[in-house]
Amino acid sequence: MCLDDQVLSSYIDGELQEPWKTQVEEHISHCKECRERYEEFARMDQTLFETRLRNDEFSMQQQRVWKYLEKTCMPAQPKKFRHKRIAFSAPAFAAAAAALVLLLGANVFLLRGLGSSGSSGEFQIPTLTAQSEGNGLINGNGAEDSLISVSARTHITSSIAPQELTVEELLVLLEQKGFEVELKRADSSVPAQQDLSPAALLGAPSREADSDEQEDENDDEEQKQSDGWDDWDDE
Amino acid sequence: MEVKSSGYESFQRVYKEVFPVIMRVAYHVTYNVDAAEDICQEAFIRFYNRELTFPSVDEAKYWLIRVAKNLSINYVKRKGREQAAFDKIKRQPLPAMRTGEEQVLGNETREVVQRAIEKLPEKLRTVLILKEYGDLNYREIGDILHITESNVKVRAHRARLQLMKLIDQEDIHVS
Repeated sequence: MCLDDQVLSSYIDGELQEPWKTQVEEHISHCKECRERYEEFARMDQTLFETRLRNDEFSMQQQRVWKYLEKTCMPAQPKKFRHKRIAFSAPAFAAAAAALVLLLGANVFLLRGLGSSGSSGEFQIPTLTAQSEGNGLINGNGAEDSLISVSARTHITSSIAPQELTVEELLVLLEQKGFEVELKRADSSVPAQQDLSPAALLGAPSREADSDEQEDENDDEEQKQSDGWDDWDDE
Repeated sequence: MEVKSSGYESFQRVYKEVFPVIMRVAYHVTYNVDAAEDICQEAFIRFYNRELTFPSVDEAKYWLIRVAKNLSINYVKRKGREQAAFDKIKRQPLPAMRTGEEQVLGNETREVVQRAIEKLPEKLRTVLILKEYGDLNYREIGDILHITESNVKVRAHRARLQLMKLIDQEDIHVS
């Protein structure tokens, strides 16, 4: 008995299950009529395949629509910190936050000093207070996920208002000022207070804010983002 | 892996994987690259704005294909109505090819196949396009169209038979 067109159609679409699949294959191997019908179906499928819109014919559209969606739908993505590791223990976090506040203050102070009175300007030590959510500087329980906010008061000049900053905001500010900050987990054998000593903190590298470099970094990130889409054509 | 349509990472992943599929489906329903691009854009805007959660990328894909397919069919119907109104005023017969529409590759086989597919009834055309150009199996097509798998099987077969006849006629017409 010869094959029904419907069965042949399912077979061509790869939708025929065993044992019927094998039976169809056996049948068309010796029945000329059914083989010709099968070949007729297969030829049309091949024609349809050849006329399909290929990926390379719409790669421009794919990128254009993505750019449009990125611009209109999606909120700005937060910038990632590069080359930085952030310690997770609360004491280390508090120490780091205090260090950052001091660095930020010192940096702003330096710029102000140089800008307003030139190289002869006297250095004034900014007054800083750093607090964790616990009492005093260190959150005693050392929980990794404890929230720490640092309030920084800079009395560098009267024009700078007291700022309430989170650790992340401080990091962003430092990033904008052109610092390269590397935070490491505090050695548990060393008392946290030792890390917070002014000498240790002021020994940290500092340099003047470089707005050009900041722009360069932004360019790099944008470049990276667009690079991610260049492999579309290959897929 | 769960997919959130409004999450940047998962949206990006779905876009990369699904755009080619819905672009091809939209193109082979409308046979107009510009319209297909607009349809894809609209589908992804809806996808993002609805803030949906899908159990997998495939489920997100089915949702997007369904939206793109509906938008494409609406486009074709609207174009058909506009063309009919235009022809009525102009008292001209319907042209064999819709005018002003972009042909990516103007080769003869493509034109023959395109005209044949355009003549298929919508129910058969949709199944055929999802199968041949969306690379979907009967079960997936059934999910997208909300019909049974055996119904897909029957439509796929009828579409194949009718298309073969139509292509033969087109070939005779062309040669």
